[in-house]
Amino acid sequence: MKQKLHEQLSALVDDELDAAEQALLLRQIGADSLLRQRLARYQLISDALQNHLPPRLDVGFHNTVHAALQDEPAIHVEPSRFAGMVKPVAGLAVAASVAVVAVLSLQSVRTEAPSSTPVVASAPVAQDYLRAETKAPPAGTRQAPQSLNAYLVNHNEYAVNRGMLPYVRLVGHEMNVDGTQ
Amino acid sequence: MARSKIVKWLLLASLVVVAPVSLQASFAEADAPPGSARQWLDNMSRSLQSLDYDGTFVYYHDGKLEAMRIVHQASAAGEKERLMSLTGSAREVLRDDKAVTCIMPDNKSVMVGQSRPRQPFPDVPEDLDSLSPYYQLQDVGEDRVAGLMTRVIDITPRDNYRYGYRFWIDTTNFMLLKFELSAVDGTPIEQVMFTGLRVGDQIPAAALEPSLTGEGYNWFRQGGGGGDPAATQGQPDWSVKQLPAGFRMTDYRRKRLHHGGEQAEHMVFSDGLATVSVYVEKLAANSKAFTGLSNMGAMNAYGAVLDEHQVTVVGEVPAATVQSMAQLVSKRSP
Repeated sequence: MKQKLHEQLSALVDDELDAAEQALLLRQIGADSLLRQRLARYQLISDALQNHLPPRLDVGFHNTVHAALQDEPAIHVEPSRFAGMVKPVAGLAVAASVAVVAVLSLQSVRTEAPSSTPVVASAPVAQDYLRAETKAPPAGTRQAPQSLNAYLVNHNEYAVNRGMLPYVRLVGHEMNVDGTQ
Repeated sequence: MARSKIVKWLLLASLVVVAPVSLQASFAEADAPPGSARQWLDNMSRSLQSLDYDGTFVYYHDGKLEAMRIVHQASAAGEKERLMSLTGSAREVLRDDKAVTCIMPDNKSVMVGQSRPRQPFPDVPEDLDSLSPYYQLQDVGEDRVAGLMTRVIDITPRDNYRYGYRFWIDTTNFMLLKFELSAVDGTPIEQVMFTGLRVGDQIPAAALEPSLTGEGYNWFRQGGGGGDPAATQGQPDWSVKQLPAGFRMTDYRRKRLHHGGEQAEHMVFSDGLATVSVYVEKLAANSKAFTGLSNMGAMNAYGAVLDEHQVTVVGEVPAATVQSMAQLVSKRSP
């Protein structure tokens, strides 16, 4: 069901939905912030892949869509009016199809080893060290508080060389930097 | 949605992705064609450090996607790098051989830390055997990224104490075009993929200048103006009673990390790939302690308070690893 919805999102920015489908989907987008965020991501990936990113990028366009939708009497609007409103949204998306592919590939890279898949040998080391499962961040994990940033920056300089990759986290997270405790 | 449509997407993507990536091989003097996974990693590490490049990439984590740009210049004078966000707040990190400057418009602050010479990758190149009980290094063949041929190198952890890595390395210039960090069960945690990259072009000086001056911002400088000293002599006052298998202490320093704060004891532990820092710092009277788990992508941190000291363990390792280490910190007997 979710997958179908995501495919419809892609079709929306590709301007490939008929008027009735557009109307239905836009109502769903208007009521679902996660869908709006997904729409923004599709657009972002598309732009990034095509090198169309401006020096500064406003990714809040989905909120604009939301605001526009709120102004619309969505339930009673005729399909043709929706179709008119969809155009600017679609215009923002150069090729959502690419974006969707990128999302799919980002989420599935682990399964597409180009040749043989390595087999993990059983751990030859003692297993009694860990006290918790490590598969996913445990419940209660939260974003780093401000005072942690000084530690993180300092720690990055001791990591093995993968270029600026460790700093990608600092830049990629909406965070504060504060040298005070 | 019809399957044929997905196929159409794939075809479209393969065409579009190729277009923006403009690469100019400039690594003609590279070593002989590498033959092992290890050599690919060594070459990648060297390329990241020694080539001039300007690229745009996407960073995927926790279901979110960010676009960033990186500019890197290597010259006789040293390395200069600039990393900036293209989405959201205009966060930037600038790094050269002396300092790391983080400009965060979110709260109008700038933090300046001291940079250190880059550690080779892996950290113990002459001692590969010491890694093998904990990781499996494997060349898993070739793959195309953005229309370019890459060699894919996997580093798979053999236990839950550490993460796995997969690198897509350009076969002509050894640049890293795609990177994935995953849990031991293969679940991706972070991914980075270049969408446009120029290698070897001259980097204009302006491209390495910050877009923000930091004027009117609060500035925080680590180290209190002093240089990052050589490894501190003697034994640290604190220790981790039991380490995850394969980890050993590789560095120990005392340093001031927070403006006006006490000197922190900093112990660095590594298994040759993953690095974990343990900081122990006297809690200031009016400061708020950091306790529990926190994360920034795959970077996990755990805070605890022990004998009026703030213990903070930070590392690109699973949450349970930093948590266990933090809980095993204790003061050495005099």
